[in-house]
Amino acid sequence: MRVRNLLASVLLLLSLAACETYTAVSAGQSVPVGEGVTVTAVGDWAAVSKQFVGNEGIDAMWTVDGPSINQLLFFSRVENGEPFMKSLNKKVNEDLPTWRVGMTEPDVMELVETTLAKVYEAPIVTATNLRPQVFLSSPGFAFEFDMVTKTQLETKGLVIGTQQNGLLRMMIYLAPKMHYFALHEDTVRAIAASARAGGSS
Amino acid sequence: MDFTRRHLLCGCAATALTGCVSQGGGSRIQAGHAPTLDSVEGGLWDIFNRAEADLKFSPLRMTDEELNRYVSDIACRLAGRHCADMRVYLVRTPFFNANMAPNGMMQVWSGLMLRCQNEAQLAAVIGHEIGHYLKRHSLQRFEQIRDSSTVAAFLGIAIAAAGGGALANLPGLVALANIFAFSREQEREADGIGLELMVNAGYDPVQASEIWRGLIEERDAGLTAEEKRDQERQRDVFFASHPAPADRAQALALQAAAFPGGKRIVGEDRYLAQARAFRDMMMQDELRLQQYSRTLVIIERMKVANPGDADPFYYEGEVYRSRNDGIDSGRAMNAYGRALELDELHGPAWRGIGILHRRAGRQDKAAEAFRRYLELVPGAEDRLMIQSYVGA
Repeated sequence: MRVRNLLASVLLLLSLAACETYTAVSAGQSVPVGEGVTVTAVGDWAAVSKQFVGNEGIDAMWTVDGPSINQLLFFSRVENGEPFMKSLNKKVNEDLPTWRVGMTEPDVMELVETTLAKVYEAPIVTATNLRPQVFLSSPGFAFEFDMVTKTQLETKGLVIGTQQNGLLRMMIYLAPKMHYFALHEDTVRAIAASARAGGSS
Repeated sequence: MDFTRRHLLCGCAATALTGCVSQGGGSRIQAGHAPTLDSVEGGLWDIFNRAEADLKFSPLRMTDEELNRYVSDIACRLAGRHCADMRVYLVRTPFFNANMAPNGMMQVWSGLMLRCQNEAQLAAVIGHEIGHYLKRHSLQRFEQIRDSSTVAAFLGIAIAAAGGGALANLPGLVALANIFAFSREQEREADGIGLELMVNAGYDPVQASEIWRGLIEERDAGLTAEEKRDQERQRDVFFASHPAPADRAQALALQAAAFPGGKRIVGEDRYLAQARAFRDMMMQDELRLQQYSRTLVIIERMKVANPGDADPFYYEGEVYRSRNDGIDSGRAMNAYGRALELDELHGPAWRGIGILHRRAGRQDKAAEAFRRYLELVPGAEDRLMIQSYVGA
């Protein structure tokens, strides 16, 4: 019995070791990010394997310098009545706000603020500069936000998205406010501009 | 070796001892007191001196000079000759709390400021915290528990603090503090001292019980009678370390009545004048908690304190618009309308009305409301999006 348990543990470890944590996404490569959304990489990125993404609801996570430094998150198919992101902490998920068909863009901005504050347990999340922006060839929105994390790191984020065909589709770029946010901000905007409908990851 | 170990132990205790209240007896701390570093008290102070150094640069600090001066001046009036021994830090965290560390570092959280109806209520909480400091309750508490099993828990916290964990996260530190907070007797003693300091500084002591009544209303908001009884039995972390709120409010009211009457400072107008500039921000932080029933209690208390103020009605509209449940759109519309009756130039209320109309597909009415909003708040941060709705 003990040998069998040991064998099972070894097999589990071997299977985990076989999992790739990152997959390279090279500049110019077109990659599906979730359901029905494909983007073209601008600059070299690494896609984080699903099992290492953490919070639920994220269809794809890209990073340049590691997820603790910068994250580009894709949400390709948020449905009516659903939160767009969930924490691994079930208690946090009990009262997450949900996206609803018919929300205005200011409503969506507040939804993002509240969700980030709850999922990341961030004491401060303040969104600003809400503006129209075409995304996935549809009228959409963009805004920035400042977030102080629970460890008091000051971060900054950019959100670009659209509400179309009864779905919310969105990407969020998040990085420390000092130096790192600006480092890839233009690249992220270019990736957003490359987003096209179609494809599945 | 001895020093290091003691230092760690003190750190644990200190982490736990920023909370509220303590054991009676003993004289008050001398003005200008500073313990030697090789004493137990010196160890406690040293840990909190380092925490204070972190707090000074915390992104959670509210650094507006005028607001800081206003709150520090209240603390100084209450503390009298101990004024120079205390430093007040305003911290942006949407929960009701203030705390005083043994070294004189006091935190006042934005959630407390949002809930105060007037200056006297803020003075009541600050006076209570000064009471802990004056009686050195932190040190007393550590002396009480240092030989018990609780020390092991404190040691765990100290190790975390040494690694930058607990002390790097000051709100977390205070949450831990509340778990191991002072005895109810110590809380009562601090309440008594707080009242005494309020009266000496000219404040109306009745306001001390009012702030607790507000918290009880907030706690019980949206609950059935049975749930309220359960709530009273199973008090949450904050209340667990304190005397029952109802008992406390009653005791404070009785004690306040014993002071001689006369004209006392309540300070609704001057409190509003100082807090107004930050109230939108504090209310947005509160709304993000989605504790809508509780938030409505805070708003009702704002209406009572300042009957002619349009903002509480606007906030009420924001609560219902955000909750968006059942007939909440209608409730929100009514609340925004009431805000505009009090102040027809209330731009954000027009914005709320515009969003409600747009959600319902009434584009013409939405555009009309949004136009008013942009006229009244030309520098609105969402101007570009709203302009796209109006077609400008």
